[in-house]
Amino acid sequence: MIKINLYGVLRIDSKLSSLTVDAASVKDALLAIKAENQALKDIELANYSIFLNGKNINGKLKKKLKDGDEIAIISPIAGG
Amino acid sequence: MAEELKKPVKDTDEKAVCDSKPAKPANEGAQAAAANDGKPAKPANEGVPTSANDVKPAKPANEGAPTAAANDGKPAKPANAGASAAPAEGGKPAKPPKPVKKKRKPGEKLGAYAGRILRINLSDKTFSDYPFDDRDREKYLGGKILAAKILYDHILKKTDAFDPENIIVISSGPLNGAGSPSSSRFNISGISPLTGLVTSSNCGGNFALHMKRAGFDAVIIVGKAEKPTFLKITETNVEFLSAEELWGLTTGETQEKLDKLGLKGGKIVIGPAGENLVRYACIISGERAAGRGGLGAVFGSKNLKAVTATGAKPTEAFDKENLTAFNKKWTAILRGHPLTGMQLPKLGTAGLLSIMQIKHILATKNFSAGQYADFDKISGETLAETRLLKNKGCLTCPIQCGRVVEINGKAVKGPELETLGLLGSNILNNDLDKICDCNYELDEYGLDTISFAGSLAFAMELGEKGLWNNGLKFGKIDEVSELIRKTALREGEIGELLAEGSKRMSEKFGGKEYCIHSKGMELSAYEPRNAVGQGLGYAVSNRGGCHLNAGYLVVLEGLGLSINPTTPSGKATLSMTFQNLMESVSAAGSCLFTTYAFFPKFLISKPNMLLSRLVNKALPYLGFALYLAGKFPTLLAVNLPPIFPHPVAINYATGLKLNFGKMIRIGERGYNLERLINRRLGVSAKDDTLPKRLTDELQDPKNPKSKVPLEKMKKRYYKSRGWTKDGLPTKRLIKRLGLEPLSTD
Repeated sequence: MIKINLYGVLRIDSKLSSLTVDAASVKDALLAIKAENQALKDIELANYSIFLNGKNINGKLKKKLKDGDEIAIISPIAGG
Repeated sequence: MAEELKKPVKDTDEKAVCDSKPAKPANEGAQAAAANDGKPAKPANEGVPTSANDVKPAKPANEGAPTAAANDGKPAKPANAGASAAPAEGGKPAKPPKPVKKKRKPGEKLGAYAGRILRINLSDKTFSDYPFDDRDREKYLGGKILAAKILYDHILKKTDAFDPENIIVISSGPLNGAGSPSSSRFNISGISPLTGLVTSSNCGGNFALHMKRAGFDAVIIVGKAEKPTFLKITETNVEFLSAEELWGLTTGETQEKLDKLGLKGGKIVIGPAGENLVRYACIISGERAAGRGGLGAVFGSKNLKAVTATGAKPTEAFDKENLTAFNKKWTAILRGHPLTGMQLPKLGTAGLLSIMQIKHILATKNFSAGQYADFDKISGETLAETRLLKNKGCLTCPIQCGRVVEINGKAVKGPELETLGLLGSNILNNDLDKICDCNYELDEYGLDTISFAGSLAFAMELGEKGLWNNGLKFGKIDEVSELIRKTALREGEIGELLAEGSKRMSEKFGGKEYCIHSKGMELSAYEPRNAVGQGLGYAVSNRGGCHLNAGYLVVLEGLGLSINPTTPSGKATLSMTFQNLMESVSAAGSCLFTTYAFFPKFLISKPNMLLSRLVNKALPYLGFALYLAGKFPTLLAVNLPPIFPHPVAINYATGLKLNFGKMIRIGERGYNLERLINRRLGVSAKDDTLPKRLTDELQDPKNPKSKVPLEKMKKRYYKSRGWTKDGLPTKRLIKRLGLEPLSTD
């Protein structure tokens, strides 16, 4: 299973904080959570900052996943 | 001039004699007054009343011609509101005609400024005008730069923060009261009891508006009151009132009491921490804090509990029609930007905590790590989901980043990012309720949340390492509220020592290598070993360990953009450029969040697209271009309102002719002014440093780059700034910036 954590405005708007999916690549994982969650249906998740096990994948959605991997999706953020 | 300040200046008769002579610029006045054998300073402007006593009461703002700039923070109406546009042929509504741009005639008074600076001497209870003319305003703009100029003219030798000769400058900017969005911030400057150096503390709320309504762009406070005092500033008078009944009250209680006395305008107050000279005591205005640097203790040392300002003078914009129309566009820009229109309103600054965790820059366990396992229990998302009652913000601000949470049935200000990090992960505390409680208590006692929390983390590490038998441990949080009280009251050994701050504790107990400060000021919540440009900024900052005065490069290194966080490449010039830019924006009276429009939307909302990735890759290599732009600001003599609206708004508000390059130059002047003051107070390259934990210890043992390569970046930074190897502005630079140094500078 792949764990996906949502952060920022994406989490507040979708009211989803943590999801699990079965997927072979990051792209598949994103498609899966979009299909399963109405709140994410119209959101272009590929535009967001995506981290795989803490590392930014810089848009490389074809990255392969293995069981236990953790994805973080973060909406735009700054300011302090 | 420091001597000059001590002398009482009579307010009416003597000054009336010379009020028809042309004003001298402040920088002339500073030298000339000393040569004048103590004669009163000449008035700042012809035609402007020369003392507060001379002023006739102004008409209330709603009498006479209303101005857009006098709207008290309400959103500006469109320029042609009310005038219905006639439909053009073909049925399409015609665009309303653009207002004609007004041109300033030679010698015409600048708009938006109140036009006067008030000097108050607490020692002899006198007050007078301080000379500052339009040439000075053009050069120093306002806010912290105006304050730096005044400090530069007065702090001529090493002066202790608690010496009555230390001066406090409370200053506004030209956009305060001008109806511009997110432009209600004011500044308080003086010598810091924490660092012994110049400090400037920026605060939101409404005080600037009320100070200008009372008729003053700035208030200088000198001397020391004999007994606890509060100042009541109005258009016609300054009253020195007894604060005996306010002494000992918290900041909230003090403001309530002042309200009951009918003082409903702007207020700035201190709590018990300021009275007890805690070196990082803050000043509170409403629910906002001028938090950093300990100027609350300087108030306390002067027996000054509070300052209130009321008045009805409208802020008269130079070109109000165009300003109103522009303010409307600017507001739309902020509302449409993903950061200022979405993230900050929904999550506040607290929204950063999660990404700081992911990027390994969340200060954890006294900066020994950049990640905290329980981060989500104290994150901005959790705060919004479980505690947030509503948003709150300053006047004129469409962002409304402030959080309101409930404590014991009372709606109070919620914690900002810095407090969440430093009272959370940095002391291994995952109890969000406890952080909210402590945040409230710190504000009520009048303590800077960052420096208290940083000092506490250091004391915990000293306790765990057996260097100070204080009973403190990371994660042991049940006594934190009691420690806040003891610190504010300097009660017992632990209260006395926490009140002194980290650096002084390290001088007593050791542990300097993990005493997390710069120039004596505790660092903000960004762990810089994975954002090394931020580390450079902390080290060289005039104020000390402040993320904003540092240049806030972490916004490029992981928050917002994603340039390589561990490379030293480009970080020196980027830091310098951002420092200068933020300095000028702050001087205008605008919130630094307004600079986020500087980042085109696509860079923020689409970080994965090719262009965004290219920009992130290229930015570190722009060093030489930024260096050239800094040297020759005429290269940037353009206005780009969608990304940098400030000079355009200032031009409409005041009649000045600013552009991007001139703003950068003004910011550079301000940054160097503070550096020159610090030089007089003893600063050199040896003080631009960080503790060894951040420069020598790896954050990630497997990553040799996970430390701050400070010395390498520092050399480049000094070179970019035009400073000597010892980190001091050269005579050539001082001349280029149009500053007038002492022979020893």
